[in-house]
Amino acid sequence: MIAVLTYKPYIRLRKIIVVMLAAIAIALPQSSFAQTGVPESHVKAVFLFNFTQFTEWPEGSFADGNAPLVIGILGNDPFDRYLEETVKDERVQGRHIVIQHYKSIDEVKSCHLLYISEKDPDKVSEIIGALKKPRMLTVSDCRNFTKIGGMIGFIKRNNKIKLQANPTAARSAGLTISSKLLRVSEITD
Amino acid sequence: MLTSGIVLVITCATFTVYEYFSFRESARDNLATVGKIIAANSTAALAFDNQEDANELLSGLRTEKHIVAACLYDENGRIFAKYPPNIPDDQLPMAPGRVGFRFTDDYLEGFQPVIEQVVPLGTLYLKSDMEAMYERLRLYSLITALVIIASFLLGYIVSRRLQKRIIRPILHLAATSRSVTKNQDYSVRAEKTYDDDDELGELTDAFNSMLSQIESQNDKITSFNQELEEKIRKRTSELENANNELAVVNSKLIKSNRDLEQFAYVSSHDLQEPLRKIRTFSELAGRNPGNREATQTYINKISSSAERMAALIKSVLNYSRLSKADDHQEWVDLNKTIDEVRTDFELLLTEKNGQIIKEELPVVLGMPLQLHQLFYNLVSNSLKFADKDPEIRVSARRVAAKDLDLPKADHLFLEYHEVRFKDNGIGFEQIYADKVFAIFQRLHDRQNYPGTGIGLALCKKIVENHNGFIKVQSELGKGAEFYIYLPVL
Repeated sequence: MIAVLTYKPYIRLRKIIVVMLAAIAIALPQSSFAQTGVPESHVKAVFLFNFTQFTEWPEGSFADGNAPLVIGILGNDPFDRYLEETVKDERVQGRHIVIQHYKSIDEVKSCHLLYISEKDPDKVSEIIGALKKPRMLTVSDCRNFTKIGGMIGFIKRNNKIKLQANPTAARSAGLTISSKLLRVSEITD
Repeated sequence: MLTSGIVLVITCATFTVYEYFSFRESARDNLATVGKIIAANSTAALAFDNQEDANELLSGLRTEKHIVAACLYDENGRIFAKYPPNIPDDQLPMAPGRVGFRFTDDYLEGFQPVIEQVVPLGTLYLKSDMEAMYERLRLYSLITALVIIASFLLGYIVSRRLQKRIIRPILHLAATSRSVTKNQDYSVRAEKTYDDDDELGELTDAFNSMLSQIESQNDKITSFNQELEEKIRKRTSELENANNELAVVNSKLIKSNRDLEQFAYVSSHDLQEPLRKIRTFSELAGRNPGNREATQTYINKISSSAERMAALIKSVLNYSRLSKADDHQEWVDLNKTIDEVRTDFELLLTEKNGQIIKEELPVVLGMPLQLHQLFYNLVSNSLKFADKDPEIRVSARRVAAKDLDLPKADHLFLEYHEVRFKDNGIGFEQIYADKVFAIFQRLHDRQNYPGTGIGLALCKKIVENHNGFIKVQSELGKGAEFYIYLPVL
């Protein structure tokens, strides 16, 4: 087969093959479960769920012992129904998890975790400024999210979703992000 | 030693076995703990798909040198992170297994679920080798061996010290007492080792004081014995002396008895004849009182018989008087004695034309009167029984007692003077050699040769009084040789 490829008319084919091989070669080392062939949104959805386990909400965050933990999505829902699926039968500290969708910031009721689905940092900055709701973990995949006051941001490195965390922002909201989570995140204060 | 050795070995073995099992359990617990810690810390890495963090976490196992392999599985059972970083996947379990840690072959391995709150995020696998335990066991075995050796050594040393301090002194005491018994030497004392006042020292002291007592008692007994023996010896020698004296007295008494017998013999025999004559002639004179001639003859005969009786009695008395040896002894020069005797017989010698020829005679210890009597009698005898011109020769020499054929066994002297008195008289047959010295024994009748028959007996008595002997050698017609032995003093 290699011999075939040396034939002149197949030079173009050879180029394609080389590119494909290169792409595969680049893609192969990723033995990570989460991220080979898994859509980004799914990963983020799982991460969101996981955040709930690595965050401590203070006293008074819940009405009572049975009150559910609310995850709010502000803006477009990038997860489709995947987030609902993920959290369906799960419990966090014995609480159910409820997903709420908000179209605008006014709709944002008290939720425990707010996913801001907006890419524009200026807009996100506005949103954060307008939120003023304590005990709410803010998450976004907007660029420099944590630098502009967000608590946990998704970033992409080497084709993998990594985390950025701003524990100070979280603390000022009364939240405690587990050091385990912080350890696997890039800290920006 | 053997018993305690066995006990020690059993104890150590039991201990080691217990330690083996206990160590296994604790190793398992340790691994489980490590597993739980790592699992707890790896939740975020798994939750947020952070392989770097997971690997970094597992690489912390580097410090635990007995953990040879570890890996984290994601919730789908695929390997997420591994340790050591380069370990090939086929050396790790393909998928997570049963929760918990167990021993397989030479390893301890198992799985620990990684759970954040209630959400399972994955599984941790840990594999540890048993080197730690083996090391421990080896160490225990070494310690056991060392302890056993040290115990044996210590036991040996202690027993040796005990021997020295206790057993040896005891054996020494036993040996001492044995030797005392065997040799009967009570002056031996047991040595006190270490010279301190422990019980053995007391025992030794008591033993020694006992020996001292025994020794002193023994000495007392011995000295008593010696005193007794001394007393016995003294008594025995006293007895012996008494016996000797008695023997002497006895022999003297025997002699006296003999003399008495002879005296009695005389009175019953030799005196009878003259007495018979007196009675006969008295009777005859009484029957013929008118016949004056006859009466005169009878009276003469009676008178001479009476005189004869008087002479006999006198000589016997004289003999008896000489029974006893006089205490008064002095040095007598026999030369002088012979000269005096010669003087006594001066007249008779001239008359018979006799002579006494004397050679050098010794000086002897004795009674001068008796010695004079001795030679007087001998000379008288020789002159009486001479049939021609009498020639008497007297000489002397010294002889050793053992050269003499002595009659009695009780000679006391080593050397004797042998005085030879030879005459040229009529002599007599040798068979009468002993008889001539017997009292009143006469070889010839009175008609031819007068005399009482007591002279030579007297000589014998005198010589015996001087602790000496007298012998005679004679031949009929050839005279007689008298040998007088007097002790050299």
